[in-house]
Amino acid sequence: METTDLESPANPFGRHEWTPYPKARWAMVIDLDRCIGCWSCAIACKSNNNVPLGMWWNRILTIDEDPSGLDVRTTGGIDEPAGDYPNLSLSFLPANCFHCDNPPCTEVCPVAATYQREDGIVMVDWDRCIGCRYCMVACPYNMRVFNWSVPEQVPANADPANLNAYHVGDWAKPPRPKGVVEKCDFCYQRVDDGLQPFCIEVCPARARVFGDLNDPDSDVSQLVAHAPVAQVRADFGTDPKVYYIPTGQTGGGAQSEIAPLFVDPERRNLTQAEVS
Amino acid sequence: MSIHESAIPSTTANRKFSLFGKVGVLALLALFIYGVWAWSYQISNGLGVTNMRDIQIWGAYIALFMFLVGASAGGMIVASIASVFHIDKISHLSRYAIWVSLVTIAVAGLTIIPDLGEPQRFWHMFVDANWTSPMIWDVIVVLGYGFMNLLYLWVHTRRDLAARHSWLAFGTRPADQRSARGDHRLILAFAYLAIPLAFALHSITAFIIGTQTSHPYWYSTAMAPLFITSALSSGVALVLLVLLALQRLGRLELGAEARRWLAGFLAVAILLNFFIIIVEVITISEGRLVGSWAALSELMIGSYAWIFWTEVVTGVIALAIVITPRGRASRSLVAAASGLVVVNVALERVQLIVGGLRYPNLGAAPGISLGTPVQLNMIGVPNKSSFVEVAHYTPSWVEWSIVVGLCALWGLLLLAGIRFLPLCQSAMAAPTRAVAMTASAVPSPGMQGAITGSVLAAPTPTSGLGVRLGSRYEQPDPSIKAAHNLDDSGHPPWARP
Repeated sequence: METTDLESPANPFGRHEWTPYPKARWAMVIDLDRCIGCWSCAIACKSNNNVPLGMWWNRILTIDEDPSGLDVRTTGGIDEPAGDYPNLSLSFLPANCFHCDNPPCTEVCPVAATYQREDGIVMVDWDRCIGCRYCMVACPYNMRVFNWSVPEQVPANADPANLNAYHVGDWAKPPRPKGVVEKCDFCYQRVDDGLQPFCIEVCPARARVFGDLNDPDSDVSQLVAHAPVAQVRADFGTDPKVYYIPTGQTGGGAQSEIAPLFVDPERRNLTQAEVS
Repeated sequence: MSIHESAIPSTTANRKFSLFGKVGVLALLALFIYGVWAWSYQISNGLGVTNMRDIQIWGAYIALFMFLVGASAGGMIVASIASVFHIDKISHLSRYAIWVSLVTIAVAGLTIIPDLGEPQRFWHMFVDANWTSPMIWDVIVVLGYGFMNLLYLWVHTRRDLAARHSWLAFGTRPADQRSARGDHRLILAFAYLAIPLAFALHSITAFIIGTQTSHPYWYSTAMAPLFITSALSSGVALVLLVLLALQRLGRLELGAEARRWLAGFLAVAILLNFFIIIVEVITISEGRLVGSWAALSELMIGSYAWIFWTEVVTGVIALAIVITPRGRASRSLVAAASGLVVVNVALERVQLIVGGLRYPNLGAAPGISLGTPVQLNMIGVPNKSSFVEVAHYTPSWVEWSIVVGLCALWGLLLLAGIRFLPLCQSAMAAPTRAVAMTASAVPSPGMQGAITGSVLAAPTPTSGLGVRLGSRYEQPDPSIKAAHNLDDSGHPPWARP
């Protein structure tokens, strides 16, 4: 059985089809009334996953929201409000891989280098990816990024020949070779260890909720069942597993009504004592 | 004019290159080596040296691949319909046509390699194939089509290769009438096989982009028909260009009839291509699918308008030339039309790739990350954002170099075949139809040889079947006429007045 021991990486590359929670279906709910567009999740993602310069697994779009759903339109610029003065609104859409139930990317990959685990996480095998970028073409949401050149990190890798010499973030996310596709993987090592993805941990507004959709008592199941959630461009038939609570409908209260406001400390990587 | 008269001796067709030709070969070789160097530069620095980025995911390489796959259709079409439909005007061009087809599909297959980020892992395609991916099917059909072209050409030329004592004959004996008969049947079988295989090739290549729901500009049932029609037009145009050039160089007697027939075929292909494009444009301009409408309006009046309108102008001029008898009568005009069609279809591929990828579905600010670090200016501030909302793509010098290198490789391979392969058809390897008939009519192998001999010795007929089908057909033996229920009307039994 594959281990996810934090101290000794068995094979940081390669396939990780094994999951300790095969009955789970990981999903995310993001409350757009709570998102303040601070990019904390994006930066946390970059550091935890060792994402190279110029690439983002997680980015925050400034959107002009359609009240009827999540037909994402641009306002023209980043942090630029929608509407005419004085009736302005500013809303954001934090976007990472949606880990679709029907992912077009895994369907088109000619070598099955991108695949879906039993718990629904869509993964990329960096040992097998041939760099044809067909998955990037197939993804309707442009969530995948490509190592066009040798990945650059700051601080730089001390020994470029040894990919494990130094890196930022989890041990299991070494610098990728050039020429492979990468994307959000819900921080699967953390999830396998019973932790939450790092973007969930850092969100100062608690806009993000992560959990098991197959567990009816989980926060995400409760929110999906009772809050007015929407999926982005669900018309592609991909059934994304990142749900959004559109702005102006719950006033940011969906979580406090349905789910506990504070995440269970046992599921955090830092205890409350360590935080204070 | 029979092919026996039109065929020029192989010593002429395969003669050594002139000084001009040698300089040309050296220039092509230099360009090819330059392309290989550019590719090695790309390998060591990554695909970041191209202008493709996370938003413009595919670029010049895929456009060239799709163009070359389409252009490889022409040779196979010219060769196989000459056999299947007995179009004798062009049957003496089969070998040249197959050679153009083979060279083009080989270079098309190679074009995919520089597009890969990890080309040394290409072998995973063969051991870890994911059968739901159109790309796997395309790899299979490109390889299958290429090998079929190779076999087809080999069967066509092996008797002549044997006559030249070439090791490429692989033990084949030089032609006698019986072996030529067997070859003729094999060639016919290949011709029948080639047509569905060509349809599969172009449809599957179209499915690579045509099945992508996320790109409304591509997601269309018309994509496969569009690839078929554009393959017909660009392929026949490419073959015509090569043949006219060979005629100009005195290596081939194309024949006015063959040129007129091919130009007429080109006219039909251009019309069909126009039809599909017009249908597609009218369907998209209904305008409710925002993505495809944005792409189309960008092509018509936006920054890619020059591509679209050059396509329209080249297509219309080419059509005007080949649709009129006077245009078809002129060698230089037909060559010009063929060149215009090649440009037209190449631009169509560029338009497909840039138009389909220009607008991301989630195009809200700041957009899609570029995927490469941005350059900092003197005070450490980025010159531009590392995000883009709309793709702006022009190929980089590396992409141009590799494209030019691949085209040079195409030229080198083409010239190698013209110089060394027996592509000019001799009478020996192209048995007349009467011989084939004899084979089917007479069961006894012992008698076959005798009758074949007598048929070949018979004088050229002046009336009946022979006249109708062209003077190169000898009058068949009466027993053959009886076996096939033939009479002197020149019509098949089901179409007699």
